[in-house]
Amino acid sequence: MRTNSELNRSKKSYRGNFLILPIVFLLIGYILFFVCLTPVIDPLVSVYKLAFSNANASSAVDGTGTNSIFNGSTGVHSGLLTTDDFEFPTWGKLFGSIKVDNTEIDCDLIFGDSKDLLKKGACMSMESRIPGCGSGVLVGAHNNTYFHTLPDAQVGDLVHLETNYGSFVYRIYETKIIDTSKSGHADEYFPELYGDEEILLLYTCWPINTLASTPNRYFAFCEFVSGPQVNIYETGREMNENG
Amino acid sequence: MKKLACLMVVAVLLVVTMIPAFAGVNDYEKKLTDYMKTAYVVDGETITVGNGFFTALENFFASDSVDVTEAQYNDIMAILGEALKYCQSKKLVKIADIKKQNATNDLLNYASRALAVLGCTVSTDGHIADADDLKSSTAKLIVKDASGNEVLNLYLEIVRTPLAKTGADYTAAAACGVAAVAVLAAAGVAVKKFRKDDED
Repeated sequence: MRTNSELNRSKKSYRGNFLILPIVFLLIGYILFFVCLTPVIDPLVSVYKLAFSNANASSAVDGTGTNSIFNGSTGVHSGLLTTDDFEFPTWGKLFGSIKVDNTEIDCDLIFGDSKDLLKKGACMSMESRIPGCGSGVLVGAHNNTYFHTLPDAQVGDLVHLETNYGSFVYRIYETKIIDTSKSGHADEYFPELYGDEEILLLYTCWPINTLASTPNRYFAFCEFVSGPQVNIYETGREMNENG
Repeated sequence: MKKLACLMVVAVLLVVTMIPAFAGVNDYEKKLTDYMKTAYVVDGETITVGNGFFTALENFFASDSVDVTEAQYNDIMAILGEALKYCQSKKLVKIADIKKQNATNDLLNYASRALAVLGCTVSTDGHIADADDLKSSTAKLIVKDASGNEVLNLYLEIVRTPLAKTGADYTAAAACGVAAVAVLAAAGVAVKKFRKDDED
């Protein structure tokens, strides 16, 4: 036989089992559901906008809050510039635009790359040189937005970079997929990136339609065709100026 | 006369403040990067960070926001000299040694002091332990100029590549998935316990 106190405890236990706990778990469930789906829904919405709306990629992403030093084409296609001739871009500044033939790529070019900046356009790594310095220029963008059509570009297609100091043209000479999880993968593009030749490296995540995190990157290697040269060093300027 | 002197001073100050900082990498800045590239030699081997770091540093020096003077160069070199001695005394040869010797904060302090000479501040974003372990890319070194503008944003890892994550980020979802499993497991335990109570 159960005593009265045992019965009371049993009633409390039922209240806990059938009222409080379900409510608590329901709330926790809703919170988890919301937090879990947020990163999934965001890229899906971007892809939906790309696929089913007439808007271009730039309208499906964050286009606010970027400081711009770019006012359209300068018309400078050649010659020698020093950093006194223009405002050298700093982290997060919109300093140009990029357009790739035979693709839909036509977007802003931002100095620096971070999760936030990648929502605003194609991003140039600060660990590479700005165009015109005679070394590697590394530009990346998301596969589900700005660089979604990068694989449509073929060898021989031209890439047009407009910056706040000059207009540059590059030509794609090779495309390849690099698995960044493999050791030694940097050997596949570091020689170009830190070499003595002006090379533009465009990259995005691969496969192009994947929404999941992937170690693979699709690269387009581009050779220099035209554009002004930039000397960022004070030393040697006199020599350059004299010819 | 006093008024004239006062006006002269104001005029000079106005002119000086109107002259922008010299853009481009000057000789002192070049010397600083060269020193960092070559100074630390252990058993005939030069220990330094990757090309990307120095490229980023030169991009920073090339901007209008900084123009290292001779006095600043000397101050920074003195701090770098101290940092070098510290590394030698702690025998920091591999990145793993930084954690072993608990040297992360000391090294960040040297960086902070050196950048303070230029009016810059340095902070970290992410988990410093990640930087020690070099297993994660969440720890970042953020440098801001005197105006509070971000000028450098570098991952603290040494062995790494400058590629950004250009695919969708699922880290939060993965963490939540683990949390969800934990909650469900807790619910299972709770139900089991209550059933047992009922049976009793």
